[in-house]
Parts: sequence; C-alpha cells; structure tokens
Amino acid sequence: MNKEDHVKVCIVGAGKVGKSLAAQLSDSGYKVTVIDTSLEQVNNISNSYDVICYQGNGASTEVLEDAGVASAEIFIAVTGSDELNILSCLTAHELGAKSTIARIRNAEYSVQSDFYTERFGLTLIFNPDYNAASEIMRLMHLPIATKVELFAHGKCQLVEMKVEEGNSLIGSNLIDFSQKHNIDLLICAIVRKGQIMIPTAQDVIQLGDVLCLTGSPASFNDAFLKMNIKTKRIKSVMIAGASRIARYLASALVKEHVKVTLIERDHTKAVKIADEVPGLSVMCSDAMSYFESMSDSDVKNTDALITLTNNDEYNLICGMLGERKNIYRIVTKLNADSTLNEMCHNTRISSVSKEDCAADMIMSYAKSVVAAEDYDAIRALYRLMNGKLEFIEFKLSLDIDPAVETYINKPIRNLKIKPEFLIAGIIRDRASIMPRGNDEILPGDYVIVCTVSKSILQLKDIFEETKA
Amino acid sequence: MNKRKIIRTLGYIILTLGFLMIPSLIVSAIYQDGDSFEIGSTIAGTLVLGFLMSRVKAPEMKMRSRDGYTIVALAWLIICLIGAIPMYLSGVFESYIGAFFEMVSGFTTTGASVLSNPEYLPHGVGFWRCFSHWVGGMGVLVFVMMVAPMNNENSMHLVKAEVPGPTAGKLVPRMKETSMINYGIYAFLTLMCFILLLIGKVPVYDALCLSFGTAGTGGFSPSSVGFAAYNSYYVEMVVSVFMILFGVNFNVYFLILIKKVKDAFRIEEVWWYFGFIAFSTITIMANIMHTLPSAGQAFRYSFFQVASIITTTGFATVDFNQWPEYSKHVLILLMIVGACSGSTGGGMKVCRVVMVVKSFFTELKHIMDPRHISIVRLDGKKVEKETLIATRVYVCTYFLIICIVTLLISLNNQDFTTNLTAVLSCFNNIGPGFSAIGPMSNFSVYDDWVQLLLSLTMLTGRLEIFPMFMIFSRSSHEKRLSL
Repeated sequence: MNKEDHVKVCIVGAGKVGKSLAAQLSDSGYKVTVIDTSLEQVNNISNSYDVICYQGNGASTEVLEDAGVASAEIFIAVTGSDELNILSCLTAHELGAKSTIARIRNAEYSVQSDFYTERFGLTLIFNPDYNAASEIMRLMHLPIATKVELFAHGKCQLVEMKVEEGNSLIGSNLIDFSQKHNIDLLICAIVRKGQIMIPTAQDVIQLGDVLCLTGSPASFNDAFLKMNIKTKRIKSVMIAGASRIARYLASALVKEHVKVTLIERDHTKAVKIADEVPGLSVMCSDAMSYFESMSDSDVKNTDALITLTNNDEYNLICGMLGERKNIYRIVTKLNADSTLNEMCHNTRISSVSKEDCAADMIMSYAKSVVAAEDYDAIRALYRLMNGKLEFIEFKLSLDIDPAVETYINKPIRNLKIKPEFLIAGIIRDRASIMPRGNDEILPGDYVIVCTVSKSILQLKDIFEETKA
Repeated sequence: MNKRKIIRTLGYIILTLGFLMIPSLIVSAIYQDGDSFEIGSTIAGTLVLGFLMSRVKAPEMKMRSRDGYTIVALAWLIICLIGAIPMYLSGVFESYIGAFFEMVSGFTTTGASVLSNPEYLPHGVGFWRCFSHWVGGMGVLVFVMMVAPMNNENSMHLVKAEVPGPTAGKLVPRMKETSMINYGIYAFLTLMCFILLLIGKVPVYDALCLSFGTAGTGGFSPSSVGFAAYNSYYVEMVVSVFMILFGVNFNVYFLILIKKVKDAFRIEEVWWYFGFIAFSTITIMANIMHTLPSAGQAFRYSFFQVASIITTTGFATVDFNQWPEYSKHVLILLMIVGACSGSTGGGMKVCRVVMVVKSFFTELKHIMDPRHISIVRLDGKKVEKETLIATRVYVCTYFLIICIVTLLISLNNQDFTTNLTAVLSCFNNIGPGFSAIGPMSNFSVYDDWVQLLLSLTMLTGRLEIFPMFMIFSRSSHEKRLSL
C-alpha cells in the first residue's frame, strides 16, 4: 500500500486545471474528491477518472461537510472566480482541512498573496498566469533555450536546448564535454528522435539532439561561448493577444527596457492593457494581418514573437508564420493536453502552458505533504518534454541519520543509482555544486534528481536496494 | 430646483458677504478717514437683504449640476454688484461701472484697476478692495459652504463650478471639512507671508494688502508707487516665492500635511509648472541682461515678473512694457498658461496645457498608424476620455472667447497689442497688459461699456467659462415643476 492512499485531496472547480489535477492526483494514488456547481462537469469527471464527485457550491459548509473536507489533507480551490476560491479555502480551513491552496488570477489579489497566507491561514496561493509569464521571461533571458527552469531558490538552472549546426559539441562524448570543452554543466538527458535517455559517459552528442543541461545560472553564458553558440540579447518583442499572461509579461519586459509591441484585436481590451502597462506600445489589430503588413525591416528588428491569445490554433499558426519570417525567438501559449504541442517539435517554437505550471506546483506540493514526515522530502517538481522527464528537488533534513540513510557521506561514484535516475545537482550553503564522482551528499543539502520514471517520494528511492 | 431654493441659497451667500465686510469697517474705524458710514450702511443693508432672502421657504429638492452652475454664476455677479457699493459711495470712482470693474477685478483676483492713484482710496475701502482678492482666491462659495448651515449633500456641484481646473476632488469625505482644510492651508500660508513682509519692514496696512494680493494671486497694490516704495530685494523675493507657492495645486500641501510626501512629488502638473518658471526666468534674464548693471538685478526682475505673470497675480516691480520683444512674448505666453489647477491662480491652467500637448502626440501617433492605441497619462494615471474631450472643448472655447472679446473691444479704437493683452489679462485674471494698459498705466483708457464687458470677461475666466454661460442658456430658464 502506497503512502498516497491515506491522503485525501479535495478539489473545488472542475475546469481545465481542476480536471488535469484530478487526473494526475488520482493516477498517483491520492483519494480525490471533486466539487463543482455544474452537474455536467461533475458527471464528466466521475465517468473519466477514479474520483468521487459532488455537485454544489464549494464555499457552502453543507457541501463541504458532505464531501468530508474535515478529514482532507489538501484542499485545492480552482474555480473560475478568485473570490470563491478564497472563500472556499477559508471555509475549508475552518472546517478542518489541513492545507488549503487557492488559485488567484486577479493581479490585485495576487500581489497580496502573503497577506492571505499569513492572516487567512491559506497554505499556498498560485497564479498560473504569473508563473507562465515568469517562464517566458526566463526564455527571453536565455533565448537559445527552449525551456528554462529554476530550482532551489534560483541557485540552480535547468535548460533545454537543441544542438544546431556549428555547435562545437557535435561528435564529442560526455567525458569530452566536461574535460576537453571544460564546461561546468551537467547533461541530464538527451532527446534523440523523440526518445528520451539518461546519458552514460560514452554517449556521443549528435546534430539535432535536444540536451537538458543543469548548472548554476551564471555558468550558462560561459558555456554557450565554449559551445560556439552566439546568444543574442532580446531587445524588441512582439506579443499577440492581451491576455493576463501578456500583462504580466509586458510589464516585466518593459521594466527591463525591452521594446514591446502588443497586438490585440478587441479595442476595449487593447485600451485596458495600454492603461495598465505604461511604456507598452499597443496596436488594435488582428495579429496575423498586422504581421503581414509589417515591413521587412520591421520584422528584422523584432527579436521575439510571443503569441498568447486564447486560441491555441491561432497561437501556433501565428508562431509558425513568425518562424517562416525568421524571427529569432518564438514562444506560443498552448494548453497542456493539446495535441498541438507535437507540432512544436523540430521547430524553433517553444510552447508554454499555464496548466503545466499550475499542475507542477500542486503535484510537488501534494508529494511533499505525503513525504512531510520523512527526512528527505520532495520540495519541488518540474516536468519537461510533456511530462516525460521529471526533475525533482529533495531537501535533506539536517538531523538525518547516516546510519539509516546509507547514501549520506559517500562519494557518488560508490553509490548504486538506478539507471533511470541521475543526480543533476546539489545545492549546499546557497551555492550550486556540479555533482561529480567524488562529491558527497551531506545532511542539509538540496539534491536535484532527474528521472524518466515517475512517482518517487524520497531520495532513497533512487538507489538500488542494498541488501544489508 | 426652483427659484425659491436659489433665492434661499443666494441669501446665505449675501449674508456671508455682509460678515466678510466687517473687517473693512474695523480698518476704517481705526484709520478714521471718513468711509465708515458708507461701509457700515452697506453692511447693514446686505445683512438685512441676506437675512430676508435666507428666510424664504423652499422645499427640499435635489440640486442638479446646472443648478450648481447657475447659483455660482449668480452669486459671483451679486457679490460683485454689492461689493462695489461702498467703493462707489467713497467717491473716488467716476461711475458705478468703474467701481464694479474694480470689484470684479478684486474678487476674480485679476488686479486690473481703473484707478491711477489707489492711495487716494480711504483705508477702509482700500482694505476691502485687497481683501476681496483673498476671499475670491479660494472661492466665495467654498467659504460659504464652510460657514453657512447649508445642506451639504449636493454641494459638490457648487464646488465643481467654482474650483479652477478640469477636475475637482474632495480631500476628505465631507465637503465641509475639505473646504476647511483648504482654507486652513490658505490662511496659514497667508499669515506666513504677512509675517515675513513685516520682518521686511513693510508697514502693517501695506503688508496686509500685499499678502492678500499675493495669496489670492490678485495683484492690487495699496499704492501706485508699488514695490518701488520698499525698494527691498528681500520683500520682492518673499512675494515672488509666495506667489509661486499659491500657484501650486493645493493638493500638494494637503498630501504633505498628511505625510504623503512621495505622492505630493508625484503630481506631474507641479513639475511642469516649476519647469515653465525656471525656463522663463532664465531666458528672460539672459534677454534683459544687457540693459541692466548686473546679473543679480536681471534675476531679481525676471524672477519676480515670471512668478507674477504665471501665477496670474500681476504685481510689477518694473515696467516690463519696456523690455525686449522676446521677454514680452514669453510673458504673454505665460499669461495664457496660468497656474496649476486647484490653486488660487487663473489662466488656462498648466495641467490643461500638458494634456493638450500630450494628446497632440498621441494624435500624431494615431495618424501615423491608426491601429496604434495610445493613451494620455497624467501623474502616471490614464486620463479619461471624457476629461480629455472636455479639456479640448475648453481650450477651443477659451481661444474663441479671446478672439470675440478682442474684436468687440476694438470698437473702442485702441491698438491691437492693448486690446489683445487687455482681454488676455482680464480673461486670465492677471491685471496689467502691454502698451496702453502696461503695468504703469490702467484700464481707465477704456470706455464704460468696455469696462463692463471686461468685467464679465473676468468673471467668465475666473469661473472657467461654463457657469457664466449657464445663466444665459435657455434650458436653465425653462419652467420646471415648482411650488
């Protein structure tokens, strides 16, 4: 019996995020209850997943008591209304739910998330739009990457990048990578022809491979120089669609003195975003037709195109048009489960999904709740390649017992790690260490593990069972 | 709203006016130069009239926007008509219209005079003439609202009609308290000015008159000699600095008062205002330097004159009519710009100029690419479309009125500079103009009917155009359901 079996999760709101959370949590073995006002949604979910559903208002004590919130370990409110989410969490908290998580999308509320957690007793506030915008910001800072994630309070960075023509790494194996090229990064995974593999020392890097690299954020620029990759600073960005993500993104970009042009078809929305983001240049037009009307020099002066409308197909086609016009960096917003994601492979288009950001956050939290009593609990979880590759961050407690946890204080080369796992980074005293054979794992460390298999909860799970 | 209610409200205003004249009676009693009877009888008559009018029974009715505008316009007219009585009775003025012009000039804080020797005025009447600046600067209605037992519910309409600037806001929830705070700041600054002038060895009576003229950004001097009588760098600097202070949006002082200094510095209009002052002072200084012995002297004259004109006060230390053309042109432009909104100054107001300039650039962008969405920001906040349209209409009407009035008074056969600057000066509530009505001459060059027309121009300028036209518009005369 898994530990997850004892954990009861209650989700209010069966929208996109609610549904995807219900699916993932119930897959991982949690006991999931879903509450939604719409009978249709409720039926839909209870027919598709192994969860129990209640129809009703998620802020009503009666409904919540029926759903057994009092014994719920995790309460997640992801309805369409911020106010309802907060109210549901407050009610659930009073009724005895251990931890409450609310999705808040309104920027005016989400800036005061600390207030909610401190005064209202909410455990976690998340804003998927904001998270998605931060993810795009990281891509803008590192335009060569197709995905950038930060671990351990920004001390360690994960970058997914494609090996293109002219890269000096082509033909070298992983030993050369660190010794001949002297690059202080770690290759955690290689994706070749759609297959993900955890590389061994002898694997040779080929043209067209996608590499997953980890290291301290500062070491990447140096590494790119050594790889003979020219990075270009993004100075001018075009955004299609005045969505919430666009708002966060545009204000972050304007703050860094990037020239941002936003195109929105709806006049009211266009005026609203122009008001909210000073310094932003807003055009009221259809993104595609605006794009067509741009002169060649205008296109040339655009470093990045980011398509963030509510229509995935439109986003992708717009992005493809951008690729045809040779725009350096293209990011499009696609839904997590959209098959359109497949279309982005082998293109320069990176896709970002709000639901992914939200699901990652909650899944890692859910796992950490389960493993809370352990000494080596999960702190965070990140997924790449449509969830096929996971990066898990463990926090080792200081009072961990080396006698029980045999991997402590031993050089990594002597540890028997299962083949589908790789130690991708160690953070000690706020500094990132590239794990080499001689390094040891000590109590108090943050350990980042890269894996293609799923559902591990503790660091010790990655080691072969030693028969004592 | 019915006529009875308007009469009742006007009654309170007239009553307040009666009380406001009492300090003049006291001054007159102190100096004993023979105007106590005139002032005393006017006060008595005013109080009786006001009392009777305020006793008129009126049903409780909601005040609408146009009622507010009508009351404000009527109130200003009546106040000036009554206020001119003691002036006329004193016998210094040739006609009642001359006295009326002087009174309107006082209440609208213009400072334009038909007298060549104001020192011949008896002290009581002279004091009343300067004191009207102080009352008119902050607004008569605002004052009435503060003291009279009026229904405050709909008083916002009155304040909107009287307070200069495109938008009038409350500082605190209650209108009465807002008025009190504004008057408190106003009185405190006036007192400071008075004390500093006394330190500069200005006689008490002159110091009082000068500080009223400075505070209301009016511009009446107690004597025709003007500042030459004190011949003091110090006095001129004190007055310059205080004129500039009274030309600042009073919200700044309120924000400083409630310790929100950061927000106070964020008011964009004030920065533009200081920018205009700095630019004009420096360029005029360079322009007049060669005519004067030292740079210090040039600064003294240019700084004082720039401060005096942009705040629409209209004091003069020097005959700027003799200055080089560039300096004169800068001063004419400053006349139009005027002070900040929400100050005691007049003119078009800095924030309107800023908004018009900004909307020019957004329009330019829009023409270059019609898809471009650009918005006008002031203090970092979006300016609502309605405000922008109102501002544009205001600015257009403003110039239209100047053109029409200039054309009308041209019948009096003065030269173009005189006519244009007379209208600019009256409409913007400044005082002196150029040529025949320069700082060393006065408006007596014009016939009575021109003086009357210019008086109405002053009122129109002080009340920012719309209220004055409300009296004449047909819709406000329409017979409505009344008891």
